[in-house]
Formats: sequence, C-alpha cells, structure tokens
Amino acid sequence: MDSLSQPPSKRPLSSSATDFREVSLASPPAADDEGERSKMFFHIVLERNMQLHPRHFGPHLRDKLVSKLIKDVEGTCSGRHGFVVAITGVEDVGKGLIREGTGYVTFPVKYQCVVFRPFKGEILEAVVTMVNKMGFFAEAGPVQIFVSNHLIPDDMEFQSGDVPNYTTSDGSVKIQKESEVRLKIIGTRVDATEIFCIGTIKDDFLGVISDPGAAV
Amino acid sequence: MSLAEVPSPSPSSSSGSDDFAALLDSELELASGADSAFPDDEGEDDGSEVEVEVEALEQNGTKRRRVEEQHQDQGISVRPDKIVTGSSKNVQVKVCPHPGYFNGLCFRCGKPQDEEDVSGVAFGYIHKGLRLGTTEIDRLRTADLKNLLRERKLVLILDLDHTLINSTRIQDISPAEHELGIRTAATKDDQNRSIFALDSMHMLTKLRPFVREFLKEASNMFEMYIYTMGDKAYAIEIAKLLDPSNVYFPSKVISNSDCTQRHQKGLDVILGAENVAVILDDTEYVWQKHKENLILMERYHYFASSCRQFGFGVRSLSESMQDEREGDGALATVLDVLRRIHAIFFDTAVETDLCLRDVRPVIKVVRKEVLQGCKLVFSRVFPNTARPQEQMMWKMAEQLGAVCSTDVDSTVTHVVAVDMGTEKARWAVGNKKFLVHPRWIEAANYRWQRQPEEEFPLTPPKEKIRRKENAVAGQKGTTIKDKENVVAVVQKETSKDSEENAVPDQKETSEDKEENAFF
Ligand SMILES: [Zn+2]
Repeated sequence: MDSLSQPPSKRPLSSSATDFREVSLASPPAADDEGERSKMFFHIVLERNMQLHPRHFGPHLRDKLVSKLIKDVEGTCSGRHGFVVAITGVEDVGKGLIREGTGYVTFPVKYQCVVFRPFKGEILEAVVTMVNKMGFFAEAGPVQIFVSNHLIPDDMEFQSGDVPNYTTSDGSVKIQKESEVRLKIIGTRVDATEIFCIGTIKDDFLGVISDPGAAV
Repeated sequence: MSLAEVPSPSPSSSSGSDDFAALLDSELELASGADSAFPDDEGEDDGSEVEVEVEALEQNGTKRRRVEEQHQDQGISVRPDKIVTGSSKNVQVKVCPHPGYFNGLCFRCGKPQDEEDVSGVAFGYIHKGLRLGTTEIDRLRTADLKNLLRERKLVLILDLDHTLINSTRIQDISPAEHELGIRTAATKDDQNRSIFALDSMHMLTKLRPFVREFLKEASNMFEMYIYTMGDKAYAIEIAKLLDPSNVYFPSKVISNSDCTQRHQKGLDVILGAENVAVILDDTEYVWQKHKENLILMERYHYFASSCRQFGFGVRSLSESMQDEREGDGALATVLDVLRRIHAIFFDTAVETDLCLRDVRPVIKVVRKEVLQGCKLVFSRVFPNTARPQEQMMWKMAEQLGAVCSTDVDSTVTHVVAVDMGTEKARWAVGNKKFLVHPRWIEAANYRWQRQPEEEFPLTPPKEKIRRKENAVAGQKGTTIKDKENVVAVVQKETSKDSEENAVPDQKETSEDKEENAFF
C-alpha cells in the first residue's frame, strides 16, 4: 500500500552509510571511519489509502483523516520500513474515491513520518529481558534482540541460579536481567508488528553499560 | 512528535460547501501551505533521499543484501568475529553452520534462514521464535551437564495433571461438591489454601498435598521442568500457582505446543541430557521412548469429575472432604525415592566419572530395593495356560527386587493369591508365611515401598461384598486406604486397556476424553 512518488535520485548502500552520501553500487566505500555511527531513525514519506465514513465529511475531514492515520499507523511496523514512531505531517491527500454501496470514501494519503529501523552493523543499546544458557534476550523499544552465547565473549561464563547471568572470570562484568547492554546488530528482520535482531557483544566497546546488580 | 504538531486546517474556511472537490482542494491548499511548518531539520531533499532508501529496500532487497555481504566479507562495514577469516585481499569465508535461529535469523551469523531449511527443534517455551539445530542442542546439553553436575544436580521433569495437581472445569463440579462450597474454598483469601480458581479458564485446581515442600526439597537436587500435555496458557497459570516467585521453572514450562510428536512427550525438547533425567508422570504411554527415565506416579484424583473420567463410581476425595496425607502421600514418598536416586548417583565411593554416570540404572537399582529379600510364589493368580514369567505381575515383582518362584519351599516369604482355598494359600497359613493379595505388589510398585502385608489380606467371598460397600460409601481412617487400593487397581486396568488398544481410532477417543475433562 505504501508507495513512493519520486524517482530515486541517490542510492544509499547500506545502513552504515547513514547520512545517505552518494555512492555507487560498483565500488563500495573503503573502510568507513563512521561505520559504527548509528542512525536508526529515518524521516520518510509513505502513502496509505484511508477509508473514511461519510459522517466525517465536512469541515473537519482533514482532522479526521490525520487522527485516524495516527491511530492506525503509529506504533506499528510498516513492512520493511520499520517501526513508525510518529507521523510528522501530511503531504498530500489525493482525490477521494467513493466506494459503491457503502458510501465510504477512500483517500490516498501521503504522509511524512519518523521510522525506526535498525540495520546490520549498527550499534544499539538495549535492556536485557532474559538470560539463559543459550545467551540473552534484550529489548530496545519495538526491537527484540537475541545475543547467543556464540556472540558473547569467551571469557564470560553462564552462571545459573536465582538470577542467571554471564560473568567474566574475574567477576568484574556481569550481564543479567535488567542490565543495559551496548550491542552490535548482525542481522535484522522486520515483521508486521515486530522487529527482530541478532546482536553480538564480541567486539571492542560492546557489553554492559549499567549493571543492576552493582547498584544494589 | 505529537499530534499537536500536526497542523490542522482551520475548519471554517471550507465550510458551507458540500462539493467534495472543493473541500479537498481547500484542504490540500491549506496542507501545502502548512508544509513548511513541519519540523524538518534535514533540508528539502531529505524526503526524496529517504524514499530512495526505502525503495532500495523494497525493490532491490536481494541486490542490497548481496552488497552488504560483500561489505561483510571484506570486513569493512561489519566485523563479525571469527566467521570471516583470511587476509584482506584473498577473502576466505568459513561457512557458518547455522546452529539455530531466532525468528528466522541465524543467531551466529545473522543471516536469514533458508526457507527450505526446516531442520531442528522449536524451543518456543524458552523464547518465542527460537529454533535449535541438533548439533547445537547436543552442544548445549554437554555444556549444561558439566554445570549441573558441578552443582550436584540432576534433571527432573514433572507432569502436572494427576501428578502435582488435579483440575476440574467449573461446569463439571458435582452437586455434592457445590453443596460443600468448593468454589468458595477456591476463592478464599487464605495463604495456606490448596485449591484455586483459574477464572480465565473457568477451572478449579487442587494442589496435591505436600507439593510445595516437594518442590522446595527437589529443587535442591534437581533442575526442574514442567511438562504437560495441557495447553500453554493453562501450564503457565499452574506454574504461577506452584512457583509464584518463578525460581523453580524459569523458561522451563513445556506444554503441548512444544511437543515434537503428537500425543507423545519427549526429552528432545529438554536441554538436559537423557542420562541425568528423571521423569514423574502418571501416564506411561506418553513416554514411549523414555520409560527407563520414568517413575510412574499414582494418579491424584481429587475432584468428582476426575474420578468419573477415569471410571470410578466411588465418591471423590472432594465429596468426602478428604485428601491424601501430607506425610506419607504420593509426593512425600516419591521425594524419598528421589533422594535415594540422587544419593546413589553422586555416590563419592564410585570411581566412574560423573559425566559418564547414568541415572537410568540407578532408578532400577532403587526400584529393586523395594521388595528386596522377598521370595514370592503365585497361587492361581495367572491363567493356567500362561507362562508365569511373562505375566505382568511377575515382572513387576522382579523389578521391585523380589525373587519369584513357581514352587513353595522354606525360603519363600510370601504367597500371592486371590483365593484362600488353594493349596499354596493353605501352605502359607500353615507355615506362617505372608499370604497377600496381588494388590500388595501393585501398591508397592506405586509407592516404592513395601506395604504392610496385613493391609492386603485375602477376603472370603462374603466379606468381599461388604468391603466393596464400604469403599463406595467412602469413609475415613483405614478404609480410605482400601479405597485407594481399589482406585489403584482400577486405574491400572484402564490405562493398560488404552495402551493395548492403541488403534488410531480409539486413541483419538481417549485423547478427546482427556481434553474434554481437562485431564
Ligand atoms: Zn549462521
């Protein structure tokens, strides 16, 4: 349903090309100093056909369309675009098409919105929701991330018990439920309602940001 | 960005017109005028740039992915650990074995799952969307085994219905139960109550006496799982009752949706090794592949509907306001058995490496202690034509450690008979040997304990009738024991029947029956 009206003028290569610099497909950029600088929020234009009941026709038609649009779209995942955080404006409302019999009118609405869409290679901060022997699960807003123990540094070992956790041998770093972690995304999938990511903390500057256990 | 920031056209400007085109025109005019009011810190062509981004995703997904992979291979934008090896010029990519998937993404390399690849086992009870390959399961089991044994723990798999609890649908509550106020009891605000209303499911659940102590004690020796043929929502509700602080069963509640084979429970969905797993269940049939790990439980029937469903005409425990005893009920008894198994398994005098030990022979050894030192002779218990060694009762006695014989001699300790008039029965009386009913063996089998022989006497025909009446009336004290025995025997027969008649049709019906009665 979403469509785009303007022809593509620039071709961003990957998510790490966050500021959409012009690059050609044939020659990917050389090692990118800013490769890990993340941009997961995008301001984009989407289009949607909206049906409106005739009772809304009148001076407040546009208001109705906008509030319905917000209700329908915000907080959902729009196909591959990502999670619609907020609608920032309505660019265009096309000609209404009356549907035979029902009296409903369908308006093509072009709107601007901010979407959240993590990409491979980006850094994300997330809160740990579950720790077990397979790894840990974490959440960042609408995104669910799994960091399997393949992608947890080898010096961190799983400890079972009342509060299962991964801890370094010297005990200095601990990941448990509610910990905040910085992780790098190595794979993503956007569903109709959810975004799933595979994350790793097996790299420099990744891992625990805050440790709920230490605060107590 | 909030709703307030979305500009709304002034309503009055276009009012008075019922012409659509005019209305929309005016709306759109206002809209375009308002465009500049949108916060837009990215400049004018931001929109189009982003559109390209989106389009590239939509139409060029494959191509895009390929480009990204190329990036990855050269270690430019992404630096996955270990997966990429080799020099920067001559790139060599080690193929990821894809050990498992999280919502369709390999959790080692992040790549999407091949649609044709449906191998592995779903572990939805650990996390939605989790799937593990067999190699990964083995790896996790091995790693887990070391941890477990270091903590001196084994794995315990617990069935719910008839093992730890008994449930009934509210609509199946009997008039007698109603009269006794069973529903009020289930909603009473009492910390020590053992009967609960599951409002959302229109059910009542009764915890088996001793279950809380049982779980507490067992959790010191075992990593525990719940494994039920009930559905997920039900299993989770019951787990909350049994484990309100979620310490016993975190991510360890397995329900019918997790089974890999219809109507069968399997250890394949458990990340614990088979050689350390002990199962407590009242149904043998569902554990076809793991009978050696199973300790069969005496069925707990509390509610009238549960008794009806299993074909007992007797008054239920609920209707006679009775219950299993805490101190020597089924769970207390089996806890002792588990302690014994645990002790033998971790016996420090044994030299075998812990990882190589197996709990299955240990279960056998402990079972063999039950009737150790007993030598049994059966008298007209089996049909004349049958070979006694192949009879279920004979085998059961041997598994319990008894020696079985066809002839009497001075070393015989028990004569098992149903009729006092047989020659061997009279011999037993004359030689001061125990004369017991076959139920004595069955009771020992369920309770893992040699039962007092005097509670299993042979009854002359007249007396038999009277005892039956007693059992139906269901009283307190010693007669309850009799009733339980009756229950045990009937139960046995029913379950045997259903196992033998394992033709698909009948299986279906028995399944249906179970589902209807909520186990
Ligand atoms: Zn992989």
